[in-house]
Amino acid sequence: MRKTKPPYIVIDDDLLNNMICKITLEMALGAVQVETFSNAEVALDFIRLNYDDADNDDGVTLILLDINMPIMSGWEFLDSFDAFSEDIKKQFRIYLLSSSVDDRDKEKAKQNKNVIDYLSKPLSKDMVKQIDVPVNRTR
Amino acid sequence: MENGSIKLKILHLEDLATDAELVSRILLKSDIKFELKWVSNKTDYIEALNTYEANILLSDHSLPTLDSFEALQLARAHGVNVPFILITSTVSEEYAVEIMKEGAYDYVLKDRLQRLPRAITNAFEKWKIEEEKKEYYELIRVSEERYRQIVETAQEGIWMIDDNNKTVFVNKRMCEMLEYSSDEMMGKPNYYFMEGKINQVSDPNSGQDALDIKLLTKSQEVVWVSLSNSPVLDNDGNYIGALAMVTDITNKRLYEESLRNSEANIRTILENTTTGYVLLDMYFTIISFNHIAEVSYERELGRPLRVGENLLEYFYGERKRALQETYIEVLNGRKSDYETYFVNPDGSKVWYYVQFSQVLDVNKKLLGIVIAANDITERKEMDLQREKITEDLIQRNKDLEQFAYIVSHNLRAPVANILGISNILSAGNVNPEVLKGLSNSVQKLDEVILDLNDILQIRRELSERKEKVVFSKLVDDIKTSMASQLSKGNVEINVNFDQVDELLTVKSYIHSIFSNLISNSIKYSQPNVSARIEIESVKKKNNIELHFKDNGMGIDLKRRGDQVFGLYKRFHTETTEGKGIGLFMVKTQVEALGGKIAIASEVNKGTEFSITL
Repeated sequence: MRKTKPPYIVIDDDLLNNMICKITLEMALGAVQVETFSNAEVALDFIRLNYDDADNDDGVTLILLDINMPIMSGWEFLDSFDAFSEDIKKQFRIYLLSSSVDDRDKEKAKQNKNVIDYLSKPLSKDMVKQIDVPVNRTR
Repeated sequence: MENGSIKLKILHLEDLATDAELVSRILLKSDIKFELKWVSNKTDYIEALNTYEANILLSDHSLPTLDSFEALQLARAHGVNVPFILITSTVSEEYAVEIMKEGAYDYVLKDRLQRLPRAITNAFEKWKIEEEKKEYYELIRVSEERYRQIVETAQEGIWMIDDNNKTVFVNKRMCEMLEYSSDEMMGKPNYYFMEGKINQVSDPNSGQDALDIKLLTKSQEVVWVSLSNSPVLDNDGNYIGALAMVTDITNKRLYEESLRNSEANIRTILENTTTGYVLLDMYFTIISFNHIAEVSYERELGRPLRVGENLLEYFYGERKRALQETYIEVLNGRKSDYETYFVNPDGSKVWYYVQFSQVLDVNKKLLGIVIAANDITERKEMDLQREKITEDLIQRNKDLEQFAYIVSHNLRAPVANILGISNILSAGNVNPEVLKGLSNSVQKLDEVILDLNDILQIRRELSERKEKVVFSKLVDDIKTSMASQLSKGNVEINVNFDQVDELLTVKSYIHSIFSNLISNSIKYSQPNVSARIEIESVKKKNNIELHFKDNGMGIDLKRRGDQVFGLYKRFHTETTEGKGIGLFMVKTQVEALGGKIAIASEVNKGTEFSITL
């Protein structure tokens, strides 16, 4: 069943993190639609299913993506994401959100052209205010 | 008379015809066969000396042109050496003696001419004997000369001693050899010329003898000679001395001696080296070996090396086969070396570095093979120790990397969550879900700390004592401790330890390996399919294999194969409670025991782990 495009997607196998993100986003932005996925493959399917009418959509969805996940890691998700058309890709702003404090992860994140920035967990209200842009999506 | 058959040719020098007539008449009356030529002056005399070939010369004492003395001298001067008889009327006693001294055979007085035939016959007889004697002496002289030439030009020295060992003869070569003159050597005993001045010559009575001895030259240089000795005996067989043929063999002996010295040098080197050398011919027959080889081969092979035996016979089984292969390689011109070890009765190892090389002659023709074996146990132990230290260091480093990874990911994750939750709580947003999340996070943090402890512990327990573990009993114990899980999941465990049921190992590790794999199979069993686990042990040549097979969910190895044994790697999220440490622990422990683990899996069919220990 087709859903409306959410302004926020959180992808992390850690269900607790997804909950923290959702609450923090709500705390920062008020009521907001947040789709959470514990499996990146499912998230990809969601995008494929809901974002194909991209040509006349200038709205933006913000993705908070974990790196270390079983089944499909954040990096693998980014590889698959890159295969989408530019019309689809332009509808997303992807942030990596990881518990890792490893500099190598941060470096690698900056080199990926589909990643805007690397965020260190936990997501806070201040961070949300920095990354939030008028998204033109139904909140 | 003996000479009756011979017709004498007589030349008569007489100025008076009457006297000549008289002589002729008397001779005719005798029984001497002769022809007579009468000359009356010097000129005719000389002419006759040259042409007549007289056997007898008769001469008057004084002629107008010459006297008898001159006549005799003329005859001798013309090479006519036949008997000269003086016929004279008177002659002084002194003159007679004088001319006899000069070579006249006889003198006859004219008034006693009847004595002439007898004088002629006697003189001719005497002359004949003298001539024969002369011929004989000449023969002896020639033969002696020839003999002397042989002796003096001989390449061998010739040395004669008497029965007191005193030198009685040496030839030129002998003198040259010893740098003495013949005179200097004469009368000196043979041992005077020998090194140490000791009579080295064996009993001269023992007959023909050849031996090598050292002689000293005048300048005290050593000359090696070969003596061929024969005794000299008199007619009664008594020893009267010895004759030696002497050959200078100094160069040969020096060469031999230097060869012997160099051989001795090589021997010395070989006997003082720490390398064991065995020399073989091209059929692997033992030709020679040094002491080190003798000792070490006997120690390792239980059998002393013997010249003439085939070295292959000293080896058995795999070692023999390897040796044969190496042998063929070396024969084909490849230098071959390897390291090998023998196990002492106490279980310690003796390591050898073995090198095979061809032995070639100057024409590069294969003569045989040299095997050099070095005891490298000490070096090897150091190497192994170093390898182990390096390995340990690498492992430590990996541990540290893992630790860093754990810190940055697994330790950080619950902390990050706790931070996130505290942000939410401090904003006054208190709800039961958030509080539950807080407690979960703290619990997770504690688990990670415990895992860290477990992981780091494995290294520490490496030296743990090995003990006998019975697999069937081990599985029973695990079943008991996991009873609730087993009954809940309706799990069936089938074991087959017929081939091997016992192993000398670290019990805590093997327990952890078994329980982790069993619990893994239960955790990842397929929903709605009752779990079945099969455990089997297989005996292999040098080790054993353990197989754990289940009918669970399986893992997509194509995608994640390289991460199966990684720390905190999980493949099933929603369905199970796995936290990604079990297989990591199993692998670490298997490797700590010196084994290997492999996985085969198919999604929704099952997984099989194979462990080689």
